[in-house]
Amino acid sequence: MPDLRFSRAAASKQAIRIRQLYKTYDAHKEKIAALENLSCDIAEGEFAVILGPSGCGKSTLVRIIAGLEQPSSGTILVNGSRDSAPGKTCSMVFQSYTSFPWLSVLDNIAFAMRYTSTKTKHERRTRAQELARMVGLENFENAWINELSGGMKQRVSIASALATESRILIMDEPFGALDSQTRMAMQEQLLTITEKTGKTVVFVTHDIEEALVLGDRIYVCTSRPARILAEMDVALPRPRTPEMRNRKIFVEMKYEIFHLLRDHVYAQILETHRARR
Amino acid sequence: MRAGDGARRRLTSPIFLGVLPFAAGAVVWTILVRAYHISPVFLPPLESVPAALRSMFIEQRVATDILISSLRVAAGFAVAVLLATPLGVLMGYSFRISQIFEPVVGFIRYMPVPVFIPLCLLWFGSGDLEKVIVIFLGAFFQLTLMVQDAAGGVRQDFYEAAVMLGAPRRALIFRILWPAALPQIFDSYRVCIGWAWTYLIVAEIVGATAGIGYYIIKAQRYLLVSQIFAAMAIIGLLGMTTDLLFGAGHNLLFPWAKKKRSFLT
Ligand SMILES: Nc1ncnc2c1ncn2[C@@H]1O[C@H](COP(=O)(O)OP(=O)(O)O)[C@@H](O)[C@H]1O
Ligand SMILES: [Mg+2]
Repeated sequence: MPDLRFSRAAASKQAIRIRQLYKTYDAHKEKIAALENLSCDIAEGEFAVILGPSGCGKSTLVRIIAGLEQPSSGTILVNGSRDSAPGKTCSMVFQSYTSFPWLSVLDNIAFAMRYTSTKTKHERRTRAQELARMVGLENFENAWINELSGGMKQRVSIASALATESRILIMDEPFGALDSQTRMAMQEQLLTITEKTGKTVVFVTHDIEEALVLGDRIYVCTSRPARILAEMDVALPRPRTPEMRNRKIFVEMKYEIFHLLRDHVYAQILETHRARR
Repeated sequence: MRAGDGARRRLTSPIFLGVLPFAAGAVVWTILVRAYHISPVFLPPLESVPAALRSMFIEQRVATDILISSLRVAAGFAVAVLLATPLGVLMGYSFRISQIFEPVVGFIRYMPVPVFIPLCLLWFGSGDLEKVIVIFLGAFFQLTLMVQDAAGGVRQDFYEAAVMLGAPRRALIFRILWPAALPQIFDSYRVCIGWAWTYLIVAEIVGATAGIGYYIIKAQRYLLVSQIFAAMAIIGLLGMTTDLLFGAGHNLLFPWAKKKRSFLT
C-alpha cells in the first residue's frame, strides 16, 4: 500500500472545473478544432499533469484556463468563478523564456508584487530575495536574464510566478527546451517547491516520465482536437524522490500510458502519415 | 609566449585597424597628386588640408559655423525625436492608430529632402528656423516608421507574461513595450542623426549665411579647394564623434542588451 500521507489528490475541493469545452481557431481559410468536448475537474492543491502529443491542444487548454484565450463554447470555472480575466486567479510559466531582459533577476521576481500585493518596497525586495533563494538563484540576484542558462531562466520565471501568490500555477512545457540532466534537476526542485507551497499546479508535458515523476493525477489527451482520453492517479507517495522511477507502480503506469497513447494517438498519427502518402 | 605575439596584437588592435583605410586613402591621394601632376584647383596636396584647417580656425572662426550647424542639427533632430517617438510607439502599439498614420507618413517619407527646401525658404526665410524645419521634415517621417517598427516588434509573449503577473493593460506600454523596444529605438536615433547632418548640409549649401555647408559653398566660390576638403573632414569628424557617443550611450543605458560579437569574427 503506497504511502498517501502527502498526497494532495485526496483534497476534494475543485480548483478548476471544465465542461464541454470547445475551441476552434480561424486560421486563414480553414477552421482548426483544437479542443472538442473536453471536460475535466482539477482538485485544489492537486498537481495535475496534462499529457498529450505536440499540437494536440494542450497549450490551448491551459491558455483558456489562464484567461489568455476565450473558448468557442463550454464552461470553465476557476476557483468557482467564471471571471476569466488573465492574471487574477492563475500565474503561468511559459515554455519560451518570458523573463524580462531589461530587468535584473531580482526585479523580475519582484515584478508581480507591484500589482498583486500591498507590500512596501522594502518588503517586496525581501520577499523577492526569499523566492530567489527558494529557486537557488541567491547568487544571481543582480544578473541580467540574457546572462543565464535556460534552466536558470525558467527558475526566474517560476519565482516570478510564485510572487503573485495566486493559488493556481500553470506551467506550459516549462522544461521542454532543456537538456535531460537540467530537466531532471528542475523537476526535483519543482517538487520541493510545490510540496512546500501546496499550490494547485497544472503542468503540461508530452513526456510520460515527467508526468509520472511530478503529478498527482495525469490527464491524458487525445491528438487534435483534444479530449481527455484517461485520468489516472499516480499512487506514488510524497515527497517524491528520483529513485521512484524504479518502483513497480512507476514502471507499470509508464507502460500503461504508453500503450494507451499508442492505441489512440500514435495510431492516428500513423494514419495521417499513410493518408498523406 | 612567442616572439611576435606583441606585434601581432598591435596589428589587430582596433585603433590600428580603424586607421588603416585612412592611411590607404592618404597614400592614394598623394600618389595621384605627385604622379599625375593634378592641378591643386582639382585636388590640392594632402598637406594643404591641415594648413587650411588651421587658417579656418584661427583667421576665419570656423568654430562658430561648426557650433551653428551643430545647434541646428540638434534642434531639428530633438524636435523630430520628441514627436516621432510617441507617435511611433502608439503606431506600434495599436493597429488602429497605425492604420491612420501609416499611409500619410509613408507618402511623405519618400519625398527627397531637397524637395522641401524651396518651400521652406519661401515660408521661413534662409535663417536658423528654415534649417531646423528642413532637418525636422527629413528626420521625422523616417524616424516615426523606425520607432513603429521597434515598438511593434516587441515579443508578444512578454505582454502575456506581464498580464499573467498581474500587470493591468494600461501598464503594458510603459512597463513592457517601452523598455523592450528602447534599445532599437535608440539605434534608430543613431541612424537618423546621421541623415539629419546630411539634410543640414544640403540646406546650408542651397541657401544660408552661416554654417559648415555655407562655408563649403563659399570656399568653392573662391576655389579654395583645400578648405572644402577641410570642411568635409570636420563634418566627418563631427559625425564620427556623434556616432561614438551614441554607441557609448547604448552600452551605458542598456547594459542588458550588449551587442554580442558575431560567430564569424
Ligand atoms: N492562435 C492560433 N491560431 C490558429 N491556430 C492555432 C492557434 N494556436 C494554436 N493553433 C493550432 O491549434 C492546434 C493546437 O495547438 P496547441 O494548443 O499549441 O498544441 P500543443 O500545446 O498541444 O502543442 C495546433 O494545430 C495549432 O497549430
Ligand atoms: Mg504547447
